Amino acid sequence: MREPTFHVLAALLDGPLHGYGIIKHAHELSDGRVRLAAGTLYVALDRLRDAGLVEVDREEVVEGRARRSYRLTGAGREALRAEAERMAAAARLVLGRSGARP
Amino acid sequence: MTPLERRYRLWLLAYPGEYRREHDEELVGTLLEAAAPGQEWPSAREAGALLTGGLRTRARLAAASPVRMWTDGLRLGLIVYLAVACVATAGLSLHYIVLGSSRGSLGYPDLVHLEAAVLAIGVVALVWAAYEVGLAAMAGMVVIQGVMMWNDLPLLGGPVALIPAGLVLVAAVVAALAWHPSLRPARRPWPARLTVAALAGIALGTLCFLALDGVLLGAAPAFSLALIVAQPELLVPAAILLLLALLGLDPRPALAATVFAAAYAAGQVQTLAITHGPGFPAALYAQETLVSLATAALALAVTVLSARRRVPI
Repeated sequence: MREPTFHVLAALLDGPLHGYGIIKHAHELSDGRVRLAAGTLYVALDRLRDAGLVEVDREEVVEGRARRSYRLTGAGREALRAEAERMAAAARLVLGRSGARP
Repeated sequence: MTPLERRYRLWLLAYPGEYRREHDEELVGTLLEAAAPGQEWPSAREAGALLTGGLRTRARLAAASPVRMWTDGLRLGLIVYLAVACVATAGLSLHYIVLGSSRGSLGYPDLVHLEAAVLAIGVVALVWAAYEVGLAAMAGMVVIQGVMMWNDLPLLGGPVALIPAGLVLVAAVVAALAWHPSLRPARRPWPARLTVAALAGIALGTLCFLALDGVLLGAAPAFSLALIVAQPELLVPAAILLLLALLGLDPRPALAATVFAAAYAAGQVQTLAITHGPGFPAALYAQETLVSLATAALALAVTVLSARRRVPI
């Protein structure tokens, strides 16, 4: 799983969000480290929709513009959890060992 | 519409029309919400992401049909080959017009003008997937080149020289696309706008060609030789296509680069094999041929690797 994809899924864990909502929430969750560009966000969202991990929650018109909100599917929640467990296992390989201490 | 929105919409042209129709309002809305107050220009990061995103979206939509990967890649390669040939011929044609000079007894400059026009027709025909017109243009090219080479025939070791290998390879691919119904696109997938872009590209390429010609005339012999061997008319289009393939995770431009470089190399191998005589710079020509063969091999490797690679989520 690509890093932007992981952050998109992680941002949606708290509930449905529209495009800019995802960018903002991913930024907050990562303490300002992750800044998703809109082009990157939509490539990730399209792939996630193709794979059935994310679906459209709501379509509305805000200030004359179409706006879609997205939500995690059950499969998306599972994939995110599996990825997080894989990353945690990778982190355990290093952290807590004497050679990794500063 | 604010200047920022207009500039964002320009970058959104990287996305295919079918995608823009459904998503451009949503994308523009997100881009404008994410913009800083008072911002007038897209940031380099945002613009780069739109370019890459557009190319990857094109690849994703095309990947739904494996046949489309072949037809798009082959057709783009043919268009680039004919457009580059057109650029070189149009450059020569302009030379004749400006200098008003004449060579040979068969009205050589007239044939060059005609050749440039026929090549331009071939490019436009392939852009519109009008393969029969494209084939007719290529048949015309073979006849024109045959007439042009007729005087040099004693140097060329027989009538086989009258059948230009690169063009024949290209025509064979066009014939395959025209012949098989499953390879023929159901509708004209590329808009008229692309015709204008192709012709503008040819005009721009011709200007570059003439500028390069001027540089070659004034440059030191060692530099001129290096530039002749490097063949910018081959390497620049091939490099652009391979860059598009790598950025967009798309095998189609890589396939196009393979077709283009292979047809280019085929012509050179043929010339190298059949041309004799004291005036022919065989060693220099062999170096050029090696460069084009290596380019074709590299493009083929990128095509195979990018076609096999599964794009991660």
